[in-house]
Amino acid sequence: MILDKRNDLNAFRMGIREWLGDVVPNDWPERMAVADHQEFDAFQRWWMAERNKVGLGVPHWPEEYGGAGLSLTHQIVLADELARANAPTTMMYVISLNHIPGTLIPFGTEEQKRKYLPGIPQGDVWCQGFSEPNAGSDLASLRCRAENKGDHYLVNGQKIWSSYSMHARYCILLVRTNFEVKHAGITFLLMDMQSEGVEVRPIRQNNARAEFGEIFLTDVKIPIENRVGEENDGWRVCQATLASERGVLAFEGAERHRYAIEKFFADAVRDDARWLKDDQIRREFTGLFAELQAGRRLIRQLLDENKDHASSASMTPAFVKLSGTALRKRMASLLVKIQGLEGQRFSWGTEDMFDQPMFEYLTSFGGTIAAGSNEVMRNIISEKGLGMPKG
Amino acid sequence: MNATMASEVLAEEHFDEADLAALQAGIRTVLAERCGSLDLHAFLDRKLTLDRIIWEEAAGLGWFAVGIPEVFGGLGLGIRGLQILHQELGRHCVPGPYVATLAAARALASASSEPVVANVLERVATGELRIAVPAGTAESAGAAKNAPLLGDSDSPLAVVPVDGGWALVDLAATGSDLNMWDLTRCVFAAESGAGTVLARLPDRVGSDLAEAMALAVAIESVAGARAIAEQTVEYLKQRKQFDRIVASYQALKHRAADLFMRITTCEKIVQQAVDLAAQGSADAGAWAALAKAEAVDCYTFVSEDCVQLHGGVGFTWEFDVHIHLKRARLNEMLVAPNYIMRDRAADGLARAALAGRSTLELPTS
Repeated sequence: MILDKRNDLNAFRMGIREWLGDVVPNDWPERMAVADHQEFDAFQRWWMAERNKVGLGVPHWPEEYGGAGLSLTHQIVLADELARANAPTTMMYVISLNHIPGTLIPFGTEEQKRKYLPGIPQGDVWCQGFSEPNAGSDLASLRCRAENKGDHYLVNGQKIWSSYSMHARYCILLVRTNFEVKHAGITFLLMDMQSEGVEVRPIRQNNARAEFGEIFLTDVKIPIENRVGEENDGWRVCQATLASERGVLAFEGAERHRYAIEKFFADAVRDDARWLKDDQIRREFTGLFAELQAGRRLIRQLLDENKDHASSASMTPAFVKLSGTALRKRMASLLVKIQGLEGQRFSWGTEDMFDQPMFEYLTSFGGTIAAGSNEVMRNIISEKGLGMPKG
Repeated sequence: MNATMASEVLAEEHFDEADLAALQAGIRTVLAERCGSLDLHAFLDRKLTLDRIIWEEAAGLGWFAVGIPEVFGGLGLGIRGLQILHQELGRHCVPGPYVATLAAARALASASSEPVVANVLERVATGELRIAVPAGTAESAGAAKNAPLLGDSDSPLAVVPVDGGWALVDLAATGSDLNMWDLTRCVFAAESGAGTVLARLPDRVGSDLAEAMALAVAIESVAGARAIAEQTVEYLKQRKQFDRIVASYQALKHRAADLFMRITTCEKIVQQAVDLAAQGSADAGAWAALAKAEAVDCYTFVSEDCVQLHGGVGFTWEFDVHIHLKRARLNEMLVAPNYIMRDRAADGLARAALAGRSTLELPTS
């Protein structure tokens, strides 16, 4: 068993490498590029089941909640091997794996933890019902109404940008229980997506995929015991939710990017690619190559800070988000230039940004907008990091 | 004065990160006290021989010994020690021939141990000697004869191409100062053929020197960029217009955030180059070239924006921004202009790729 080797980091690494060599199908990126919703859903569930078989379903969770209790160092080794093997991602489970334990372990009741956490390694998909059409960067202005009816909340409103919500069994939901105040009128609920009055409509993105959903809530009844924390204390709870990912995902993404760019460059050198002879494009690429390595170093700094519990004034998380997403967009844009007319033919993208640059390019705009737009990141850097006063 | 000698901070052969941090704090304290804005401006206006004063101070405190191997009387701290020194020199825009002397010493130390070279290195370690080097295209032994030198025009020692090879030369005569816009460094012309060859050096000195200079310039550039960006943000926090602190305008906050984003990125790129040099990697030269181009372009970009962020005073001689801007533009041309540096980096990275080497390995734990 891989987990039995955890006391020897190198043996642990080799165990993961061997397992991935056995289990990862080579053709998965091409298959997933053209997969429909059902095939995608089935593949993600298959991958979670495979991970769970070797005890790596929820490797970073504490053992008392069914996890492997891996240290951050072990998680990084795992992420590094996943990237090296170009293994499938767990993108459908991002909320399940990170935000649910990050919320329920500190704030949930014992009943909530017992009811919801064990289902996740078994494949329960969670989505996040936070943003609304008129509450984006200003999340606390949300207006989804919940009336306390004694044994349940009656919920009416609309949520948006909920990734994989059409696959989700449950939803973490921010609702307004007091319209007189802003932050202090928000409550955090756990919603069964199969409740009556829940409707999900996929949102088609600029890249032709539909990974987001809009959630319409009409007289949905949510039991009182599904509240996390006190009524009107949901803002505090959701801060924990949003802080629950500690950089391992960004690390894995950057490592995948590293292997891809090295392969792309080596192929270009071997093939004597024409773009390498163009001074402007070659120099631009060389600069991006350097920036990618800078990003990997910056993420390592973030992980080190998280090991040491750095102060909340650190600019590093905002720098990682700002630089990583902007770099991805610039890199994709350069690749579009390199590909020429051929690159303008429609094609579904794979996980590898170098395969279908136009798809990657269009997708990359999501990164600079989502999870705190890059403008919000600049506010955080300048106000919290540089001490520039709020305007 | 309560400055600590570098050798006291770093007990020989036993240094760690805490010792290096103490060395850095010591250098920064001295330079903050002795090389502040008023001192620099007095130097620009020829009212203070700040270059001589700081050089003597640095000699007394053992800073020149930091990068020189112990066998030549140095502290043997290699590129990591030099990184700390150049960071502070760049941050404070210290006037003087530091890049030339320290890069020449680094290249000499790995090239030769004949007595004349050893003697020169020992005297560099004490701060007695300065060494000039070609300001540009330093890697080629066939470089133009009498190409401009970076260093001190009153100091005759130089590492230069001579007769198709490299040599340590006594130039014998005072060079003629070419009067750069950047008054903190001296580029001068000298008749290298008229000098005396003190020691012939192996050909690899050319690429070693280019790598050492590129690293020094990269380190100083990104440190200078951080210094002027920090200084500018502090200015924005003082300045009021329309009854508001200027720093509270979002248009300026976002620009400041972008400056620090770029500086942070370039610091990581420079660290990659320093680490490869410390490991003696075959690809250290390519990354030094890449780091030099990225760091200096960052320095120019940041300095330009800091002029604008200062408003009218940013255009004046009295404020510091133009000192950084001019250092950035001279740095751009040192070793080779940045577009050539990027091409050299691309060639080096391509060689590594063809050989199946990754230049991107990092520890994961």
